Amino acid sequence: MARVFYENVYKRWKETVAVKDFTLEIADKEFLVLVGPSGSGKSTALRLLAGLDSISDGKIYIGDRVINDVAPKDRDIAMVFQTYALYPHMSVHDNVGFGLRLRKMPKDQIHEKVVQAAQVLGIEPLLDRKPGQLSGGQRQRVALARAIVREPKVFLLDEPLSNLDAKLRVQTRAEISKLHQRLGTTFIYVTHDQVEAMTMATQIAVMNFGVIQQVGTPQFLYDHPTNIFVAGFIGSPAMNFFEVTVTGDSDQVCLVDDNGLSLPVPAKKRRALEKYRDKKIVFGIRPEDIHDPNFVPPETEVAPFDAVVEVTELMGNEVFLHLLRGETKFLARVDPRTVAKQGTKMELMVGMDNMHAFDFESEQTIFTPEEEEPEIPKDLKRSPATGVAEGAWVTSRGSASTERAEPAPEEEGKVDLDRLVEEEPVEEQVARRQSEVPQGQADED
Amino acid sequence: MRNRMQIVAWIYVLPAFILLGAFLVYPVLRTVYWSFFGRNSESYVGLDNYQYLFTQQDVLIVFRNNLLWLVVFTGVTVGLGLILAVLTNLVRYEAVAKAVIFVPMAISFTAAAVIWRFMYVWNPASFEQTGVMNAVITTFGAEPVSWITNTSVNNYALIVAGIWMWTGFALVVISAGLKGISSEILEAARVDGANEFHIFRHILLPMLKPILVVVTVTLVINSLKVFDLVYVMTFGNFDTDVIANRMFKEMFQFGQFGRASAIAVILLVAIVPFMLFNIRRFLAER
Repeated sequence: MARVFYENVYKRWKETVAVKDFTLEIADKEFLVLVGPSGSGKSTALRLLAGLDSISDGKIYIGDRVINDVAPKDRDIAMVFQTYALYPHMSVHDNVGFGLRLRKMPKDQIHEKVVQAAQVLGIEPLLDRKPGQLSGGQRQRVALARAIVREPKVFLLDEPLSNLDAKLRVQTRAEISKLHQRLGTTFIYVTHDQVEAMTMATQIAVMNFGVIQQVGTPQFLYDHPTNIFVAGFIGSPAMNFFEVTVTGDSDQVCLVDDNGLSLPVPAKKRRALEKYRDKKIVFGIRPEDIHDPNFVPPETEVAPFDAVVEVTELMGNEVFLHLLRGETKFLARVDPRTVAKQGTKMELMVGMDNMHAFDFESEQTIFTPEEEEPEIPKDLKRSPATGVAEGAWVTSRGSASTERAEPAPEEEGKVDLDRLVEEEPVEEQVARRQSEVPQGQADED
Repeated sequence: MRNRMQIVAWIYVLPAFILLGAFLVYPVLRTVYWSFFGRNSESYVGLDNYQYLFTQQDVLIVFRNNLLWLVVFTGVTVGLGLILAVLTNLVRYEAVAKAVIFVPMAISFTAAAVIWRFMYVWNPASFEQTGVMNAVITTFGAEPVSWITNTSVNNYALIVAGIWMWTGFALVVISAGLKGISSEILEAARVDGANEFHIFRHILLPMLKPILVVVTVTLVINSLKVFDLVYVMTFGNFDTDVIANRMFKEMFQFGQFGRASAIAVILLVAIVPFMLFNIRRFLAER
């Protein structure tokens, strides 16, 4: 059992707070990806777990043991660094076997294990070389071999792919996923690249300003981003945002702006928007939910609007349209058969089923998953009130996710951060993840 | 074409060769030549000078002293430099600590020698001790020691002054090497299960090896050439003489040009292997 549990962890450097009230439970065998922009505290959170930085406040558990005061060597973890951090004066064999040697394992046994690990990663022919004689990809494998040979409880990976070229990164990504399934150990992986997060994780924790913004499965985060930051961060190309005003009555709710935009809201989304009537909100729509009128997918509730085409980018399997409405620039990802002329006005359809809406002040989502998807059976849901993190899912706490925007008191209770995730065995998640990666996530690199 | 290129190359190198030849090669050869002549460089004496040097009891003590310098001075300076480099790397006031240790490097050797003569001043036990060393040991009840003249300690007393001067050098060079080791490597070792001693033994030491070799060779050469400290502190008396000082004495005190030249040749021959080693390492690194 190697459950990892961060309990209200803080890391302060003099005046700055690198990690703030960080509470996260990572179940055994989970592949958790900590993702966020640079300086969001994700690496620091990992280093606190590794014992490379000291914890200012709070507790971290590995299994049932509090490891705050345990030396890194006694935490039973292995870490892969961004620069690989191989020992340059040792051969690959000795690099991989170093940890075992320190544990006073007999030489022949070390050799056996090193060869085994090398076989797993396909670096057996390189065992006699020095790190200086290896390519980036080979060094990366040696670093992985050095981690797996010790059979630790938890693997920590700190941006392990960022020094590889694009092609190798895609390949290694898949190999790390395979390695995770094969070893059945808890992986904690830090990256700034949301594509890596989406493709590899069973759980993603999005961080910004040292605070966890949202935790959930890749698909859940993609479908139900809790605030504007997560919505803009997860998914590539990023979600489009528009400032709109909610108008209409209970039969007909419309999103309008000063430039003549008027989008009717689908019936099931109306209720949540009721209390925003005549108020400003932020309307979010992903590029793939803006369609050419000729190629609207069946059974999509759409609303028409127009925009000026600034640039078209033909990708082969799709077309990116860089569009302009008034002052607002946005992007659509449409069918490759679309004919669009640069500089002309074009009619488009917005798939309103997949619309997102955020509070203008707090930037928190207006829709809560249970309101949108009443088909989730009640017994699989968890009440936010009891929301102690457990099993394969996690709750993130704190009234507001970004430092600057506190929700207005009247919205409290509605703007719910305690998100509900269906519990699902890890294997199923892995399988689903392979098939359900949102369009364009996998090929983005 | 090829020939012309070579001619041009030689023309460019020529000035350097002339300068080297006039100021380095010629004097060396001349010194070797003179080492086979008598005191006024007039009569050829064959190997007499060398025979004299290798049989004379007080000259043998000179060689012994240099060996002592080579081993003790070099060993302690490199060791101390390494330990201090690792330790100062861990403390908060690193720059200040290093500066303090490095300051003796900035003092002239003559001045340093004078300072240490004051440190080693001896007064009879019944008097107040004005030398720092004796003041310290008498506080703990020991008899004052005549550091400069007592032949069982005076060589070490001089070597300590040398160590005091050169530790800063070793420290600064080794520190620079230490800074070049990425902190991620040390962190990787810590996660791998290494304690601080393991890290020193298995990571820092092997990775610092090239730097340690350079520092050691530099200090070995310096220990063979040591002159000013001995000249000022004892002038080679009380069995503390060293090769360079003895050469100076033969030359300017005794007027023995032949013997002085022979000593210079011996010194040169002693240093050459270390120079070659250094050059080979340098070439290998490129």
